[in-house]
Amino acid sequence: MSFDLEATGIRKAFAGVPALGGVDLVVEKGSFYALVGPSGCGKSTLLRIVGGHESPDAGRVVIGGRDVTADPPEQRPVHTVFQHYALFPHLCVEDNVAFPLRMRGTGRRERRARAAEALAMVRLDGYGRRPVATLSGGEKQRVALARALVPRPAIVLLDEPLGALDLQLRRAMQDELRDLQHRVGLTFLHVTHDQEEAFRLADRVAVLHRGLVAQQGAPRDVYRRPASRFVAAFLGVGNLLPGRPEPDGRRFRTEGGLVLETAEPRPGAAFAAVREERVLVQPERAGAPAGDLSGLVEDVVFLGATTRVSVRVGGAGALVQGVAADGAPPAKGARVTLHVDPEDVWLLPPEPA
Amino acid sequence: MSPPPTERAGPVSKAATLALPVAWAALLLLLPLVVMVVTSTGSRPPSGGVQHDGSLQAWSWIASRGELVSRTAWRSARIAGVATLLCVLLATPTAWWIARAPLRRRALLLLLVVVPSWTSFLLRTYAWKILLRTEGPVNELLGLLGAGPVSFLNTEGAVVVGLVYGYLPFAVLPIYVAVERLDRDLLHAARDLGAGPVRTFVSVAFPLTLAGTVAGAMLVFVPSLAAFVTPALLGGDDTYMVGQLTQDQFMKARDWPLGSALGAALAAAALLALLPVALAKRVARA
Ligand SMILES: Nc1ncnc2c1ncn2[C@@H]1O[C@H](COP(=O)(O)OP(=O)(O)OP(=O)(O)O)[C@@H](O)[C@H]1O
Ligand SMILES: [Mg+2]
Repeated sequence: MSFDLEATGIRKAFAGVPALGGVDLVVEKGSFYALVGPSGCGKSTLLRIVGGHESPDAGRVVIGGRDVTADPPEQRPVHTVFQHYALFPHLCVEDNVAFPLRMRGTGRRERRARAAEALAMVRLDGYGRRPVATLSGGEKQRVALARALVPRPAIVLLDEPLGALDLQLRRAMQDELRDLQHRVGLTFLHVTHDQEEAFRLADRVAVLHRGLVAQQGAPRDVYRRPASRFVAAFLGVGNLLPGRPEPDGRRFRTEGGLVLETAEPRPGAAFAAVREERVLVQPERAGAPAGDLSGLVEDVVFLGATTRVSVRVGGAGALVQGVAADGAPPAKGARVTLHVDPEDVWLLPPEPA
Repeated sequence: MSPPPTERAGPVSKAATLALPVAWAALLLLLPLVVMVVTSTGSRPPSGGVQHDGSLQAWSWIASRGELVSRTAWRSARIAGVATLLCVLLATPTAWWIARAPLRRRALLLLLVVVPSWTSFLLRTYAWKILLRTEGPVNELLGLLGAGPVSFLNTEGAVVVGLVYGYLPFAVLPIYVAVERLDRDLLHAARDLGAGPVRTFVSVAFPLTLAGTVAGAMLVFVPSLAAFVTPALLGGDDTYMVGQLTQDQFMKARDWPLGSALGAALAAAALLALLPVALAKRVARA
């Protein structure tokens, strides 16, 4: 397997405040890699270090087998799509896209042809002569993309390129972006704080937390098996119940007195993570399977595709979020049964102090 | 409920805010020009000054001495042009250096740029005269190095040095403002896309701060063209400039109409020289 990018032990502090505390990142050639994390966790800093716009206090950046740690940005086979596009306002669309070609001395004829080709690729044919100030947000974003792709760099870095777009356009651009990456076959390193975007686009995901990689892996694994309470919470797991395993290991007792069965025991676990989508709320009926929980509905929230129901289970103890089964959602105060599969109960280690 | 008063007052207050600068411009720019043109159409009474009689004496003198006037004008343009070029060349790196300094230090550096202007221009030009004269410190230093003495004074070079020294702040400030406003991401983007530091400056930074450079150049060129203190103190017979020519009509010949006519001609020439710049800007914006 060949790697396009290997960043090892990257550290960076600003005025003594650490922004990155020893990040290791390995990105496979031709893959779509997403970096997610909350605001301020160091995503942009990491990207700027890979691009050469910031120098790390420690660590190495290797691109395509070559150590580029000391190289200035213009000597790295990497182009960036900046969060605010950074299109050159004094140049028209075509000259923006042709800029990297001009910088490497490509002839005028070829420049024009390749710029036109890149613009067609992002579905902006005929926009060449437009001043960039007249473009809409989505169009600017695509020009920035075309400009980064046109010289076919080894790696394209994308710093929240869809952040400034409205939801609908963002969804459309996400599909286009994934499509484009498949077609051009370049390596994409994509920064976002939208976990859904990361899952949707990437072959591999890394979750960054306070300047460290909290977890990396295939989106499905990261989604189903978060490594820590932080990752689980960041990825939107609705139920994070503190407690500890029963001596048999197969059951987990929460602080609220709730007992959940799990398919994957973990000695020393401190939290049970259960996605609310995996907790099925049904009207109480006789003969429910053993292991089902019962409780009183405290709150009902309509979310569109699903209806979220908060249920108080086990006396005053635990509040569990679940989704209503098909049909009419239960009313507040109704007595309901909760069904959780043992496969959906994922145990997490205690938080490091 | 009635609408908030500010909404109705909008267009009125806008007109009011516009009226003030327009009034200032009329007072400061137009009025002196009008006075100058009117004065230029008078004649010089024997005791000096002006007598308003609608004569075109002054203008016909300029026309008849066209050779002297145009030689002086060209020399002035050359000296002012060189001074402007040098100012821009010095001001650009200075402005960049200030703009890239930490925020807290910038105010101090800008202050240092303008601080010399707090003392009299005349005094500072005298200081240069002392520095550059044959027995002055510069020549003493050269003497220690085994060179010189060089007679700096009474040359175009000395005048240029004086002008650059005097007007450099006028070039630094607008360039600084333009650099300060420049989006740093664009510079990162240029480097990112393969441009080295020099090409980043030439292809991105310079064109995007050109408005500041042009403003700075104009602010240096116009007063340099009309300068009279600097060439009078640091220059000699070979560096006689239009500013001096004009000044001499008022102070020596006491010929106000001729002085006014020369001043008006200078203003018109400066306007003509700057017109293409203004037009080019308008075209570029469209
Ligand atoms: N040039 C700088 N000077 C000082 N502090 C900085 C600088 N750049 C980044 N930081 C700090 O480093 C930390 C990480 O910043 P970074 O921009 O990498 O975060 P991010 O993950 O990209 O956040 P966001 O999602 O909000 O863009 C932040 O606390 C930030 O304040
Ligand atoms: Mg960021």
